[in-house]
Parts: sequence; structure tokens; C-alpha cells
Amino acid sequence: MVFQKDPFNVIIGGVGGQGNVIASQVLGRILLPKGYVITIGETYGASQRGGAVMSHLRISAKDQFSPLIPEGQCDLLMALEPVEGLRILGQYGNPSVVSLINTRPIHPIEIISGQTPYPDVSEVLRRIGELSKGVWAFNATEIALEMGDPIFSNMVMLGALSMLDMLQIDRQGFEQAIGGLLSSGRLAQNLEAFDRGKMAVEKI
Amino acid sequence: MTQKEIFLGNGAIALGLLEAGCQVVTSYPGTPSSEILPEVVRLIKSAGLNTYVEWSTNEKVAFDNAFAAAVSGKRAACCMKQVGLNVAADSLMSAAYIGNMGGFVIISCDDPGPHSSQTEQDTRLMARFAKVPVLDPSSPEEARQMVAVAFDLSEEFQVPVILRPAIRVCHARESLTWGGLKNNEQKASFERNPGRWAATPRFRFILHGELNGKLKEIGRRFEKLDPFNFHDLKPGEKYPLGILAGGVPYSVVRDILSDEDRKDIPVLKMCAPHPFPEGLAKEFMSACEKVLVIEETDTVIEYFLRDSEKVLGRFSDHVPSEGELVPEVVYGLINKTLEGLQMKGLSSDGRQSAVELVKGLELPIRKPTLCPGCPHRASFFAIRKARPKAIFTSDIGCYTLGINLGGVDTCLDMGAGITMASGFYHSFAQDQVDQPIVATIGDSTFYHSGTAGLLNAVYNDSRFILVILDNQTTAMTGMQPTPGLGIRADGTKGKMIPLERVVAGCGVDFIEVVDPYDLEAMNKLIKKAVEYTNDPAGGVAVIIARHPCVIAYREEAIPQKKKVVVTEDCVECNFCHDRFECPALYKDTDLGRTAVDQTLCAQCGVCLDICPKGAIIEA
Repeated sequence: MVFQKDPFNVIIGGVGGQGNVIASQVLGRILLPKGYVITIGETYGASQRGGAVMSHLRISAKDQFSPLIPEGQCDLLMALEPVEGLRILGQYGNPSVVSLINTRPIHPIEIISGQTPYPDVSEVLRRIGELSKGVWAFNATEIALEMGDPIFSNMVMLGALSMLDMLQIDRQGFEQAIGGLLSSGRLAQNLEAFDRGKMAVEKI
Repeated sequence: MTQKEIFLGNGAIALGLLEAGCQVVTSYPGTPSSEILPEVVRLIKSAGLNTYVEWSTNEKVAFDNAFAAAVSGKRAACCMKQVGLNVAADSLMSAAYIGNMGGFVIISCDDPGPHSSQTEQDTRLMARFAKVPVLDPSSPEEARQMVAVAFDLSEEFQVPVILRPAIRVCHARESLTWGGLKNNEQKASFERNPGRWAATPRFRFILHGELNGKLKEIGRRFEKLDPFNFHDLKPGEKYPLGILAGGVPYSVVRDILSDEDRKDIPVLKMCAPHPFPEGLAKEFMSACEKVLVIEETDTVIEYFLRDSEKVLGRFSDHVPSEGELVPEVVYGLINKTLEGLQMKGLSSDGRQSAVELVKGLELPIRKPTLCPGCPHRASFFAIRKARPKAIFTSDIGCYTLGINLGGVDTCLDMGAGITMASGFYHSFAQDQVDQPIVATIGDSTFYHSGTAGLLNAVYNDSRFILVILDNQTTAMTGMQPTPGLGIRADGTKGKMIPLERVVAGCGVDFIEVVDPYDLEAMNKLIKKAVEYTNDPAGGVAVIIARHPCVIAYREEAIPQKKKVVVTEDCVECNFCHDRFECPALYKDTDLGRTAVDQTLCAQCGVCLDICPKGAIIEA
């Protein structure tokens, strides 16, 4: 697949503990065998404990790039949390970005203790819509919970991402990518999460 | 057989170490360096190598152990974060003089930002201070290549060499091709030579002269160290502006200029900045009217250029003196420089409206917090309840987040939870003021640098309570084992050294162990400890709050899961939020009271004992 833009810049964002880094690793491992040159920049550290986390993937047909995507140059956003999605668009978005959003909020500490209100999710989605060329959104955490563990949300999201048809993500590639990376005992559940994500996502 | 794989930058460094035949790798974990040793372990297991690896108890220990291996003729490396090199600085300064036999490479990872460190210090300055060569990779692949160059240089000149990857190299991932790792068969040998290996000041003077000579020669090498040091000047051409960049900022500058198609701006890449390649720099300087220096995080190259008329950088306020040089910062500073020189600027992306729009929404800040179920939360809750007026000295680790719970008043460096406690004690005691002090330190940090401070406190009759937060792992940096577990870096069994024995060895007579999940027991124990510290025959009281980390030990940490709910008795007093701050307890605006987010709740049940109204109950 040749991108209109090279490098094609993908940001995966969310909250520490949501499996952001694993999702970026899996995506990289899906794309590598297709012949792409992959550079990923990760932001973690203290943020792993409930702070904002972001992975920058730069996918190129020819070259390695510096690991951070410059502001305003994200082409595809996959946000595991709605407010984090909006925050990322403010910094890295541009009018042609496509956004895939998990609509389930995770409340930051200040909101938990009622110091500031969490913005209305539909309002957040409306703003994301204003800042994106297209938005796909659904409650991936809900699906993961149906499967028994919110930890599967990231794989549900990757399944949904495959439906956007912007990257070459197929089930077989996903299966190969998670082999050797995630515990083999959970292979079937991760595949189920991927399939469910594929079914559930809708364009809004 | 070769294969293509996506490597973390720290994995690329690990690969470089093994490709270069490194036989001994030591480390103490610290962001952003922590994954190097685990990646070495993964690779040696997959390739069946006999490389010796260890998690050392601290960075100085890691340094000395690897250095001795290099003195015995082997190739050896020690890995740490930049502030870890402060701990090993005594060793570094001396090792530079006496040098090594086999190659010796120090990998010290910098954290511009800072993302997870006390300072933004620049290891390249440390290299200059110690008078050793330093290489500053601009990408994971380059870091991998530099490891081999570092070993060759170190062996040829018998001098330690520092590799300084910044966080954007350590925590970047890149696809690399690799394969065919082999054991290095170099055997250990030691030839007595006290004039070198135990040099007295008279010999040190001679060794210093030798080191200076080595640096001159290596500096000449660095003039032509393609592809790490080179420029793209066209012969005979003159330029109004050139950019001199090293490390990660070099790759950012390269991307920006190529994206903008700015062939009118030449670049001197300098990823081997010390010993300074004087000739190469002069060549570049003479072809450019002005030279903009973009380096992270301090002024190493800029300092060496010594031409305040021509050079634009931190001294002239063209480059920020703090913070990471992320793409947008580099973009902005290049643009501003071009504007100042009345040159054509970079293209504008017209994206300002999105930035303003999102800024205007005032989205909530998301600060890090202790995990649901974290035993440290229980400890801090109990400590504050028992000693509300104490000064809380603390230390480096996950538990620094106890700051959110009002349980952390100071955090200076590794081990200072204890030393600042004894320092505060004597300051107040001198004025006959009875100031309660409770120090906290994690298990790994205690093994790292707690003992000297504790021994000193006991010896000098300080009075305070020390709570060792023993979660049986090095949690903050990714669950590395500690001496208290007796598991070694490669997963094999080592000798387990319990905290109790170490604490007793420091001369402490009050040592009690408690599970912090039992808030009442911990509360009682702190009160008993208070009595002991106040007793003329007493001393420092040590409480070991032992409960496994809920992330490292998912199953064992919470054997009896308790589902909790909040009843209508909740009066929204905020006590649980202010003092306990569990991410699973949140204010439900629809219900008009606190509720439990069952997807986040770890079901530890500790909160059952905290609500003043008894509104948190087991379901």
C-alpha cells in the first residue's frame, strides 16, 4: 500500500494502564512484514500510573524518521479515551486526520474528587468531529467488559482500526503479531476482542 | 540466519552490546535505561550466549563490577540513567585516569523534559568533566552502531567511553535486521601493576598526562568519524546560516529541513562531541556567517565553539535552556532564527485554530496516581492518620506519588528519605523542639542507598520513624527483582537478603513487619514506634510495610477479593478522595455521592476502613 503521505503518522493515545504501548507494538508488528519501515516514539515513565500516554507511529515505504510526530501532522488517531483523543487532536491534528475513539471516559483524579467536571462525552465527540475529516467511535471498554476484562479494550480497538481500511491490518497479520508478544493462553480471547471490535465500530 | 524485528531503542543498544562481544553487562534500573539489561537477557537466552549479567545494587556498584571485568581484559558495559551516573561519578573520574584493558562502555541515558527524573542534566557534560569520549546517538540504529565503535575506541586507547542515548532513542522503536550472535572467547587475566591499578597521587599526575594525550588523538579521530560527525557543505560555497546539531535534535533538524526542502541551510552533524573535533567545527564555521547550535540538554558543543559573534544557541537565547527539544520547539526556534536573520521562514501549517480551540476547552489535567489496590496508598493513609503533624521525608519510586495523599514532603535523591530525616531531626533537636518525622523509602531504593544513611542515623542517635515500603519489586522502572527476593537478572536463584537482616545490621533495635492492608495494625505499630523514638533509651524505629505490588503480583497481592460499594450514607465529605485518592472511587454526579468504578477497582478492600461515615461497605 502506498500512502498519500510518507511517512504516514499514527498516534495511539490513552491513559496509563490501558495497554497503549502494547497496542502500538502490535500495530508495528502487523505492518513490519508488509515491508514498511516503522519508527515508534513512546511517551511513558511516571505517566504509566494513570497519566496520559501516547505512542507515535511513523510508517514509511522508504525511510526511518525521528520518533516524535511534529505538531499538526497526525494522519490517523486511535484514542483509547475520549478526552485524551481531543487533547491529542489539539496538538497533533489537522483538517485531514481520521479519528477512531473509544467513547468510555476514564476520570482523572481532580474529576474523581469533584474539583473539575469531566466534559460531556457527546460534546467531546462533537469537538473531535469538528477537528477531524472523519470520526469512528464506539464503546470498546463495554465490549471488553462483556468479555470479562477491560484489559481487552486495546485489542478491540485494533479490530475496529482494521475496518477503517487505511492501514493493511488483517486478522492473520494480527494473529501473527500477538504471537510471542502476549501470553499464549490469551490468544483466543485477543482474537475474539479483535473480531468484536471489527463488528462494533461505526462511523459517525 | 538474519531476521527483521522491531526493537526498542534500549533493545538496539542491547543488540549492539552483544554484537560487539560484550561479556559482562551490569545495571541498576532507572528510566529511561531500564530495558537495556532485560533486552540483553532476552537476546543471550535466544542466542545461547554465556554473557554475565547482573542487576547491581546501585550504579556505582554496577560501574565498578563492569570496570573490573574490563581491567581483566574482557569487554564490559554498565547501564544506568543519567542521575545514576552521579552515584557512579567517583568511579568514573578515577577510571578515566587509570583506564582499562578490554573495552569498557558506560551507557548513561538522559531524560530531557524531564519525564521521569530529578534533573535534565546532560551526560555529555559529565564526559567532559571526567575527560572521557562520549557518543550521542540520533536513533536506535545509530546507538547500536555506536556501541561497536565505543568498544573499539575504548580498547585501542584504554579509556572508558560513554554512550549517551536520550529518552527519544531509548524509548523509540525501530525495525532492525539482526542475527548470528556469537560468544566472545576473551579470557580473564590480571597482571599486577600497582602504579596503574592502585595509583598514588604521584602516578596520577603521570596518568593525567597520558589521558590528555589520548583525548587529543581521539579528538583527531572524531574529525572524520563519518557517519556520526560530518557536514554537507558544498566546497567553496558560503552560507548566511548553518545548523550544528547532535543526538536526537539532529534527526529532528534533518526531518524538518528535508520536509521544507531547505538546501540553502547546511548542517554539521556532531554525534561524537567530546573530545571536540576542533578542525571539523572550524571548517563549518568558516563557511557560515552564523551557526545555530541545537543540542540536548546543555551547552557542550556551543561551549567549545567559543565565538559569541557567530554562534547562536543557548547563550544568545536562541535555544531554550530547559525542556526537551521536541519537533515543534526545534521548528519554532529555527523559524525565529531565520526571521531574525531576515531569511525565508519555514512554511506555516495554518493549524493554530485547532490549538486555540482545544486550549479554550480547558480539558482536565491527568496527573499520575498510585494504582488501585496499591499497598503504598494504605501505608500513607495509616502514616498520616497516626502522625498528622510529622514532616514526611520520602524518596524515589512509585511511592513519590504519595505526594497526592499528603504523605510526601521532601524528595531529593535516592536514599535521602533517610538522610533528610536525620538532618531534620538534629536541626529541630538543637532548638529543643520535638518535631515528629516519618521517613518513607521503597525496598529497592533502600538496598540502593539506604544503608549508609540509616547506619549514620543510628550512630548519631537520630530519632524518627522509618517506614520501608516493601512491595517486593522495583515497581516504578518495570518490576526488576531486588536482593530481598533473591532472584537474579537472568531469572536464576541468588542469595535472598531480607530487609530485616540489613536493618538489624545497621544497628536498629526496633524492627517490626506489618501488612499495610491492615490499617489498624499499622496504626498501632506506628504509635508503638513513636513511644520508642521518644524513649531516652530508644532510637530510630523501622517499620517494614510489606505487601506485594498489585501489578507485579496480580494474583498473590489480593488473595481475598472484596467487592465494595458506597451506600447512601455518603455525605460527600471528600475525605476518601483527599486522603485515599483511589482512582476507583469517584464522584457520581447523577447519584450525588461517591461511587465505585468496578472496572478500575482492584477489590483490595482497604477502603472499607477509611470512611468516617462507614458508607463504604462490602457488597
